[in-house]
Amino acid sequence: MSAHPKRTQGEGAVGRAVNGAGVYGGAALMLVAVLWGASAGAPGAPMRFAPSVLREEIAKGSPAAWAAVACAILVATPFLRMGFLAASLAAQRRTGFALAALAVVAILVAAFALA
Amino acid sequence: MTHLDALLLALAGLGAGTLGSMLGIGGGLIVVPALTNVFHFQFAEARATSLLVVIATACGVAAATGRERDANLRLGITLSIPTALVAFLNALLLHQTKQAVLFALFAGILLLVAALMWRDDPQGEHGTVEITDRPHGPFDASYADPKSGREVVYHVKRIPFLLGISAVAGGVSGLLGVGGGVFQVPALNLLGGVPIRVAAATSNFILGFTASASLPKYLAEGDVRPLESAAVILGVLPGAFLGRAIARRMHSTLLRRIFSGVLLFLAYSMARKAFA
Repeated sequence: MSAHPKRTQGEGAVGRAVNGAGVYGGAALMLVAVLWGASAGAPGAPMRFAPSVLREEIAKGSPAAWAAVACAILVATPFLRMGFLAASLAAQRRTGFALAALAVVAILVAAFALA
Repeated sequence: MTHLDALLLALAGLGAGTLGSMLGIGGGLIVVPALTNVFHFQFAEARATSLLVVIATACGVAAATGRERDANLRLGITLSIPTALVAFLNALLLHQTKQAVLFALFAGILLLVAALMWRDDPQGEHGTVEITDRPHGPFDASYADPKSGREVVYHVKRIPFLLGISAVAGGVSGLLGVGGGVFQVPALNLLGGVPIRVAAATSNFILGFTASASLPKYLAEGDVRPLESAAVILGVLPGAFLGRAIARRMHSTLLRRIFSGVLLFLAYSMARKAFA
């Protein structure tokens, strides 16, 4: 091991771009949905995030459905970040930490799959 | 939802984001009481909104400031495993916990944080940090010391303790909808010997994964009110940056004590709901 350890590089340019797109894209979509929902007087109510429910609500032209899509984009963003980080670590031949990052991805996949 | 509703929710988010960022406790501890007390959300709905806020803040701060340059990513990835796992299991197994129990637990967490905030500022940048000229372990790393401008190598200690506290933070986050940074940052700094700036950045890195692991269950259960959550997040994001700017200009001990009182009041309001 070298005397001055390099910092672990981040998720790389693509990962940073995905993170920025997830946050800013999600926020932009949220802004549109909130303004639309407020103008239309759309009822604020809880929604179950199942693909069939979202498809149905989007087909109805519900602003809440688009807000839900924006929320889903936001939730998926950390998952994608960790995926890119795992790839970046593997490219740096930091196999142990790449596997640890993949373990986090596996937990997140399980969280979506078992929900 | 009317324009006024959207505006009030965004203002609540702005306030929570600003206060949370000023105090370094994240927005969740303020979002949940605000939504349950002022906007009459069910606890489960406020928790899900708060977890969305945590993700937005963690990813937003990273995207806007590049703050994660300071983060110890190897440590962050490793600590994310127990945090995300316990957050996910808690959401899966305990999502039907009675609302009164959740209010009581939340009040307890607020009391704990209020007590921690009442103390003087944590030790300085290098208070508990073991500066070294060469790395001893796989988590040792370096960061740019803002005072000297030099690259400083530090030694990370007590990894098993940090893993345990991360699991606890994940459990609290998954159950109550707070980020868990209130546990992670002091543990990393005081137990792990991680410089406070690196501890904050590493904790911010972990928070997004913690919230992402517990939120899918609440999304599937129909706990999220998408329009209202979006309005809150639209306020929280600028609030997080505003809070960081204000915090640099204010006397931190006075600030911490004032908001310790605010948190005590919030704890009282949550305890009242628990025992109503």
